[in-house]
Amino acid sequence: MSRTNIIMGRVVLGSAVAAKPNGTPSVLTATVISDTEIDLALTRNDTNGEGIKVYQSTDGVTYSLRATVAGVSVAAYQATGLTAELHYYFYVTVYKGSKESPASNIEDDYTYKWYNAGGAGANTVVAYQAVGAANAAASYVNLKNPGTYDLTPSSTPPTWNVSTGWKFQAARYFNNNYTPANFNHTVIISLKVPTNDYQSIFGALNNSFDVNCFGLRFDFNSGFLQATIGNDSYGNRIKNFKANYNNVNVTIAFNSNDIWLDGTPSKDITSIVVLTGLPDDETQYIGSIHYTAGGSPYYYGYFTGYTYSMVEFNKLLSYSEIRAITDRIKRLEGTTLTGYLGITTISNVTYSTTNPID
Amino acid sequence: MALNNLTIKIGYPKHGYSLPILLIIHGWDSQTIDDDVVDRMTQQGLFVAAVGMRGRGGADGARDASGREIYDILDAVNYIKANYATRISDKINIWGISGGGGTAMACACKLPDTFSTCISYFGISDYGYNATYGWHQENYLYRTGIEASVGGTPTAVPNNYHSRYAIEGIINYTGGHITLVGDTEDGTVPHNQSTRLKDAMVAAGLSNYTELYSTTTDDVRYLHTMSNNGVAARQAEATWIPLAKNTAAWTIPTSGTINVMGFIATKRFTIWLGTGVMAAASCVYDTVAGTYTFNALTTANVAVSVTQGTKTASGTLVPGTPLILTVA
Repeated sequence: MSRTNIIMGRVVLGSAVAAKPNGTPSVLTATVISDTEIDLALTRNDTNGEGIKVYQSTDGVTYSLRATVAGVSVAAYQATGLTAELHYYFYVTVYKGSKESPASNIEDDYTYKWYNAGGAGANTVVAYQAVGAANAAASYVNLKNPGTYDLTPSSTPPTWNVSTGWKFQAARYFNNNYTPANFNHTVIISLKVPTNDYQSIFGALNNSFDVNCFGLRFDFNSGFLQATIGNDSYGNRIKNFKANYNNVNVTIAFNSNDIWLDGTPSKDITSIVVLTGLPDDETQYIGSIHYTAGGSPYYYGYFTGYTYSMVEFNKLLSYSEIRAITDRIKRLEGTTLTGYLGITTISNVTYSTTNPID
Repeated sequence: MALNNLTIKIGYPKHGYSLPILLIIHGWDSQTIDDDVVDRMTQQGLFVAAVGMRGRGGADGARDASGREIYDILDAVNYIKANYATRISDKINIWGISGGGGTAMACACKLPDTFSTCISYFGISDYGYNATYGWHQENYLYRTGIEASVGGTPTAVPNNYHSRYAIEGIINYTGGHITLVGDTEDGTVPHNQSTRLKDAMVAAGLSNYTELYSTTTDDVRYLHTMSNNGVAARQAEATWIPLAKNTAAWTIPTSGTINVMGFIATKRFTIWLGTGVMAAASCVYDTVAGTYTFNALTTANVAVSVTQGTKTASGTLVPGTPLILTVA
């Protein structure tokens, strides 16, 4: 017995001396999944490691251990619970016992901004966050796209409140200095509206409701929400829908084909005609419509509701992107989007037949 | 020899597990289903598998108009079960559009208890068996393609068309639920392709179906060209998606009467008539006794093989003479 114990002891001791990972992880990659998640993948290069250690930094200088993940072949890690719009740096080591391999390459990236959720950020052309801004001026400039906002000199800007955003009462509006080049656009706008009123207008509709532009008018009236692009008296290009929304906070997404309410495709659309052709060279106004004859914005309606935030993309977003951004807008406002199941994972696979004939 | 490189576009919500499966089948000449459709369906809480059919989208083989290509659907289901076990539940649904609607109908006949629900938009239930209302007879634009897929004209190869005649095979779909969507003015796949299938279910005493159809006076039309994401699509989905998510998986009874349209694969047994694309037969089966009694519905002798678990039986079915097989 004592001899066996001695032998066992020597074996264990010998292993402890040699217990270093025999490879260094490499090809670390980081994929930004959302405003709160970055997924890591790596190549292990070892045959004896017990797992990986993930180190994280937000300045690229000071790193701290974020996670220890056991597994002889684990080569991926999902960093969740991150802060939106923040620069993150990562490196990874392989560990065996208390020993660690040299560090992998460092990989860094930014988590998405709220309007980048779902990956559509590269196509953002206009984005404003009125709710939560530091002050009124900041609400116009607190996001990227500097220079895309421009209060029209002769107008009065919308009133602003940190928790309710903008109110476009009376002739209050501003010019975002953006002119769509085509109809392949998507706008997501969050509104708070009382009952039975013309609540908001966004877009480049001129005083004759020229349909050759990308814009939208919302009416909340008689127990339903109605939205219109253009007017069927002028060119028969109209998109109407009615929904049981009234006196609510609703996030509306629309493009040239469809309308979503709080991230859900509206089942209450009463008519759709897909817009075709090129839009007029009309600059978009938020809170008003464009009066082309005089060259200045034209006031329409009594806007007693609030606009929380809005974002516009120069492409038709996917359903998943719309859901992701709507989810983020809801979180800006301190609520959540119910029923959202997360970004869709799509992959292509192949298979073979097994029938006895082929 | 197996066909390879058949494709499936898989989609599921990143945080979704134990989801009902929704197979989506493209149209007659289509190659695939757009990502946006997959995307939208996953957000309904479904595991989506857009199955590419043989001979299309780079896959081996050739379209055969709801023949052995239906068995490919079962292969796709088994692939999904083997590779995405944690993501899926036992509820499996199939939704097909136009040619894919025909695939969904054929699946109800040939793979009946694989599917909790089958959803057919403008599906083809009769490729040319009925001399008046067959798709071959009613839409000359597709005749060349139909003949290439089935093996000839209805006059030359009537048994081939008979083996694909879902209107006779739909009696096998005694569980689950089938939804038929269409428009009375559809000129591409006439609406009678759906109504005749429904009529056959009624005649068989089956009520597990829903008809959604529109006509000229309706504001919302289920037109063959309707948008995948438009008001008509969503209106229809409001009916069948809850069914797809909530209809329980089922198993064919231990005994009963079925019509074998080329072949049938169930959770209890599999039957092949010849190559699966040239014969049809009625069958009275009893899986407890292991007996299968066949009567030919088509006009030529055909080899029959039955597999029930590890037991098998085989013989030759001669028209006009019952064939009784006992598996052993």
